[in-house]
Amino acid sequence: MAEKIKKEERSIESLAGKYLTFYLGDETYGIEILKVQEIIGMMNVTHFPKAPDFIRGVINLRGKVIPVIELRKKFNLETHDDDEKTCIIVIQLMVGDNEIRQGVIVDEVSEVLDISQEEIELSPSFGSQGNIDFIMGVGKVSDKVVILLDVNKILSSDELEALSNI
Amino acid sequence: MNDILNNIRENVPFMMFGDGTVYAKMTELIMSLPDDEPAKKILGEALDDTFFSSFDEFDTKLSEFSKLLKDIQEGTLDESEKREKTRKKITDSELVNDFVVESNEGLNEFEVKLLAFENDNDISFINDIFRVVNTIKGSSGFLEFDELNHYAHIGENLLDELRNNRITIDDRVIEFLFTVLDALKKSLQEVSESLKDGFFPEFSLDTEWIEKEVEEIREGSAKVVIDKKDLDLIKEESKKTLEEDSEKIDGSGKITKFLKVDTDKVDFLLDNVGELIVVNNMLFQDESILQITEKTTQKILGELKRISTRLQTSSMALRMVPIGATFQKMMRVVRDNSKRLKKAIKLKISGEGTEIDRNMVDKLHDPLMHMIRNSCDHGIEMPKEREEAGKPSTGNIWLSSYHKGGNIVIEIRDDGKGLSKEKILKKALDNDLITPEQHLTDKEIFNLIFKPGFSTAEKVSEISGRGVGMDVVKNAITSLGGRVDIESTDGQGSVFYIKLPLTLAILDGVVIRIGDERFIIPAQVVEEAIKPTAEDYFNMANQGEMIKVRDLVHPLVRLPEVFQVESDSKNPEDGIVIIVETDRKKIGLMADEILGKQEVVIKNLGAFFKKYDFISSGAIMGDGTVSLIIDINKLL
Repeated sequence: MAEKIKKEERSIESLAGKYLTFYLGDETYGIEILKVQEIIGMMNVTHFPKAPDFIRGVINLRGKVIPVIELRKKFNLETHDDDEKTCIIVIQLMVGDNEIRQGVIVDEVSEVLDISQEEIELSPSFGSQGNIDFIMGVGKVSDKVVILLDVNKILSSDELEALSNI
Repeated sequence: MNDILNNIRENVPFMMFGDGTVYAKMTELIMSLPDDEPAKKILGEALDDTFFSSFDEFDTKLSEFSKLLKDIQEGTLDESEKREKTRKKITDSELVNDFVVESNEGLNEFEVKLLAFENDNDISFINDIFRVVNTIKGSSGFLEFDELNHYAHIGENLLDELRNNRITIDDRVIEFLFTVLDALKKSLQEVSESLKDGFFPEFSLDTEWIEKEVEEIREGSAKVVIDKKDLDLIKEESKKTLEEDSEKIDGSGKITKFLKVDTDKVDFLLDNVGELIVVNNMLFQDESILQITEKTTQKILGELKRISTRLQTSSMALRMVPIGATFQKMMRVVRDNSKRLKKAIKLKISGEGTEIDRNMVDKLHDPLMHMIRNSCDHGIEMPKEREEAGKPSTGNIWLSSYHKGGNIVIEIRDDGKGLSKEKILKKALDNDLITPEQHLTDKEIFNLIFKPGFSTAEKVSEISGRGVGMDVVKNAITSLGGRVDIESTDGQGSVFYIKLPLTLAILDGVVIRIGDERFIIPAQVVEEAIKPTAEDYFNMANQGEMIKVRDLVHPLVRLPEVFQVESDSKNPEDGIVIIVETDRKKIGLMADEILGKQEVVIKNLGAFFKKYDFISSGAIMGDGTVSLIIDINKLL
């Protein structure tokens, strides 16, 4: 038991830091600023045949072709048309030894927040249905509730496995 | 000896972790062992290993040490164990790597010069070879590859006698030099492999053979006088070779200096230049930029465009290397094959200065070698056969390379017997590759040899008949974005044309439209596009939908359905059908229309879309958006 508590403390500790926050519907989400490469305006996305629903397609990021994920679809939220606030957050992650860059479409980017250890609660466990493990925890900063996302887990474990096997 | 070992043994109980005094004393004892005693080295290393182990390991290491000592004293340390213990570690792998790279370059020169001698009998090549072997001898000595050093030393001695005319060059000497060349090549490969586990390699060099052979060559050679002109030439050459290093003098007498650069750096530069060009294109298509009338701004923009284009051209050139080195390797292939097949064959090379994408060079070697072997084996006849046909007994293969219409063409021409249409047709019928009713053009008949499992050789020879068919060659070329065409005249010979794109970075593509989406099909697989009528299209039991083109039927692939894309045309007759040639057969792809043919820059999609392999890569179009390139071989 004591061991478990210790483990939780350690992970809360590691969660503290700077987050880029953005809106998706009424909720505010945050992703670790260190994983964010840049934020770009909405652009022409090329549809990728047979790819899952939540993958909007691919874009040309200054000569590199990168996949773009529609977060609303991924989170089973109602989709709406893009507007001038819609943008793409380009994140960088390591899967195995491969560096992967991908874009995430969000409603609107908010601000960068510094969230301390005391303001973070680990993600509540909702029983055993485990498809919310991309939520690392919840940050409460001056009346605002920020859902902290684990960018590495936005893709399902199957998809990640497919990536790390290369 | 035994006294010393006893003395060491007495000290073992006093060995304690980190005790320097005992360590010093034991080292001294071990050092006093005779130099030629293998135990000296083994014990020395084991002692260091023990003392510098971590605290946790010390007990284990110590008992290993005592056991080793006991084994040595009782003589139970067997040979393989002894060798295992004496394996030396490579300390400076970078230095060894440099040695491998440089020596390989040298050996390539060795091979080229040796092969050239067989053609022009110009003995000045001995100096060049001598220099190569001399360098290998020196470096291997420095790096303590003793066996290699010894081998090279013996070879060098003979070469020295050769260049001083104490021994004449005859067939035996040439054979000897080829064997030495192959042995040195193999050793370098062994060294290169040893870098992986970090231990000194065990060379497979046959030292006994070289010693004996050199002795016999020396004895067998009469003292022969070489005329003075040759001698002077050799002296001159030897002076020149000393000065030549990384400077090469080209035809115009201009000195070109070379710089070795990490390929990653070049790739990074090329990536960035690529991005610059894309941004440039976007800038010059931008509405507000197009509206600028200000003269000075226009001038600046013009300048920017010019410099960017120049930068692109010059950085593309960085990727390019002359094809000559790959061609030179074919000299050896022809030589070895003509010996083995007992046919007289000469290879003539031209256009070796033609530059190709460096990423293509390595991938080109195997298919090229295969085609050359094929020409030796199936193209060129036996000398007697040739004479009967009224041809010179020596067969010729011409290997050349040139630019043609934005492509690089590699031509393999031989003056052999040519491809026999009858034999090909018979074979294809036997293997059910065609039906008796089919009427094929000459070109289609020749192309049958690229079908999997096809081989026209009456007897399976040691060389060409090793189970790799021409289909493998074709696949290799296709994967480079190229194609192979054949021309052949019965009794007069065949020509194989390999057509390659200038660079792997750019693809010649056919842009098609399906609904709102655009896709690209590599132009080299596209045979034709047809607008079928309702009668050309039918559904065959067990075989699915087929499309008829003239008198042939091909499977029809409804791309909109495969890709799950909304399309305008419901039936083939509403849109267009593109006939493409896959690895196995021709298929018809249904689409709404063809938008045009265009050169596109290929972009890797990365790991993310790995499992969607029917899309090979992306391409950035003129307007900055991405289109996807279809891999037709993965569609079915």
